[in-house]
Amino acid sequence: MGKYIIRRLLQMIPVIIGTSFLIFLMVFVLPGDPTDGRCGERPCSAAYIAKFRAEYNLDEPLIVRYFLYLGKLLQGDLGTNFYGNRVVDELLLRYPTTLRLTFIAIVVVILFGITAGVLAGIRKGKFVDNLVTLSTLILISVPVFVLGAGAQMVFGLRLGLFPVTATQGTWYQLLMPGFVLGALSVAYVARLTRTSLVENLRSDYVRTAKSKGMSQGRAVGVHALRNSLIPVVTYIGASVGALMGGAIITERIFNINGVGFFIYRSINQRDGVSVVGAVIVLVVVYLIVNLLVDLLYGVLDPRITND
Amino acid sequence: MTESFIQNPDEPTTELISAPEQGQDEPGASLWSDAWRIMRGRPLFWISAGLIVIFVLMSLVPQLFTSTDPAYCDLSLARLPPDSSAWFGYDLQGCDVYSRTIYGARSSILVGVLTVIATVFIGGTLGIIAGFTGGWVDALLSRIADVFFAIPLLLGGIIIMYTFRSPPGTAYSLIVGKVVFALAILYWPNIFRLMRSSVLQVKPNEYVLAARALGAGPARIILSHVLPNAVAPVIVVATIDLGAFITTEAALSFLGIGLQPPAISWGIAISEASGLGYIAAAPHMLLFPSLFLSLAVLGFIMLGEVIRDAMDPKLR
Repeated sequence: MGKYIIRRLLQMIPVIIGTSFLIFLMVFVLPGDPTDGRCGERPCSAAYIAKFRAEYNLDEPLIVRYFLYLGKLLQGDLGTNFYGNRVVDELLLRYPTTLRLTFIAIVVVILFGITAGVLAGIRKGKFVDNLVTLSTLILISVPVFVLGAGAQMVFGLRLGLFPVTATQGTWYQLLMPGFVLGALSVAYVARLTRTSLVENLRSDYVRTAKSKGMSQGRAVGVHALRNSLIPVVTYIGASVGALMGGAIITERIFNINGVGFFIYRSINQRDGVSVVGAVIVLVVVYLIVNLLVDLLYGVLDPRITND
Repeated sequence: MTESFIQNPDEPTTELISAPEQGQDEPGASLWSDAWRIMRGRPLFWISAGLIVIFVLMSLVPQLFTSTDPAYCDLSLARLPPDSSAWFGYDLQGCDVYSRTIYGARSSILVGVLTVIATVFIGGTLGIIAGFTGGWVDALLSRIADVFFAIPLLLGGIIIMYTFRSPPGTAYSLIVGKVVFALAILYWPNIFRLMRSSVLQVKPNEYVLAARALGAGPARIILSHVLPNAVAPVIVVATIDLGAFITTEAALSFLGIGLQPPAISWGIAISEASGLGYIAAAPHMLLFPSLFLSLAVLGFIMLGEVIRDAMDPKLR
């Protein structure tokens, strides 16, 4: 196990360096003047350009700049936008809301996705199975912003069941946005659980368990399901990336003052420092979550660590 | 009619599959004709193929569906609900929603198809090279792919589209090109990994060894033995991805960073219609572009799944 953890950590290093270098290249090197488009609709003032050039060491060679930039990132310095606000402070102010939203979404995914998948898997080919397969197909096809606006219209405005916007970001207000955000992953998790369960139900060890006289419920619950959930756990981890992308859209629709809304607002205010800083944080979070899931995968499935 | 049905899913990968099929008529044909026989009997196949044909036609010749000019707007008609002269009503500027929804298909289909072609070309080629060559080439290409793979599609798309911003008045084709570039550069590793693992599975087979023993060069082995056996999962995934690309393009446009007005696209239309006041006052502005977008995505995802089921009997 120790060796596995060390190997995963070592494999992670080139990915992190590569990813950050890529983003660095795209943002600070490729197109013309890097201060272009960082000050709203107006051109940047001479004072801000000078400050920006000094802050990002634009007069140094490329490699030096990259490492200085990486050093700043590691210290949690994401730059200062043209309003004079530090991007880190803006994010710190908003991340609890986004965290709450994502948490609700993940709970929704686990509860509904796995339940639907198990129901479909143990009744393969029956009505429930077809219902789950068809409804997840539809759920996958409807983009999150369509779903969000639709939910807002039906449950918020027409039926009045939920608050239409979630400006304060309380748990109750975030409930409907959380469902909307999680919907896509619910569909994928349900399908994955189903496929994985169907495969495991056909395996030798389940047949052995049943022939020893074990009840259907125990054979499914204890033997098949535990093995079937391994890829599901991995998927839920990997879907955090999609959830964070979705959060930008969901927060825009429901006016939630979180990191995603901050990114959306910064895009439209042409505040490049904030856009890039916030997105980089999300990418880093995504990488860390994936690393954790990889390590968890090793714990859940001992076969992985022994190769 | 059936001709056009078969062509659509294969369109993005024609160059990859057409070559090997001549060299390997018998086994290649039986796999595909088998799949075709199974698909033909499934209603889902005909529904999805029908949807795709309609949307492709819509993007090629929108004039078939509407004679109203989508750019003609009359402010006095703004936000009027559907009636007999405008089936879907009017939008904020008083443009005909039906006509704009029809013309909006072009952006989505164009981005989807071009991105699939680009990802399959880049990812497929590199995947074959990595899987077939092995060694340091494989290691290097795989590590590069890891880096791009680690960036989520929408987040990376935002950074790229923000870096290559399009000032007002940028040509439509240039903006579409940028969106395709952004999606392709972030997504090719998925096809790369798939292709690479397919090739690795095919490579140790006896028939590949036999071909090599008979003196076939690498190009011939790849084209007539590896590709026909490795291409099926790529076609399935590429078809499903086409739907995902359409969604992502719409999401970028929705955030105001993808296509921009005066371009006509479902994402822009939904973005404009989804202000809170408009949802209450003029829900038709939101409903119709949303419906078309969802149906288009549904068509491609459903088709991909039908092909997958037909190709892989284990899943049944």
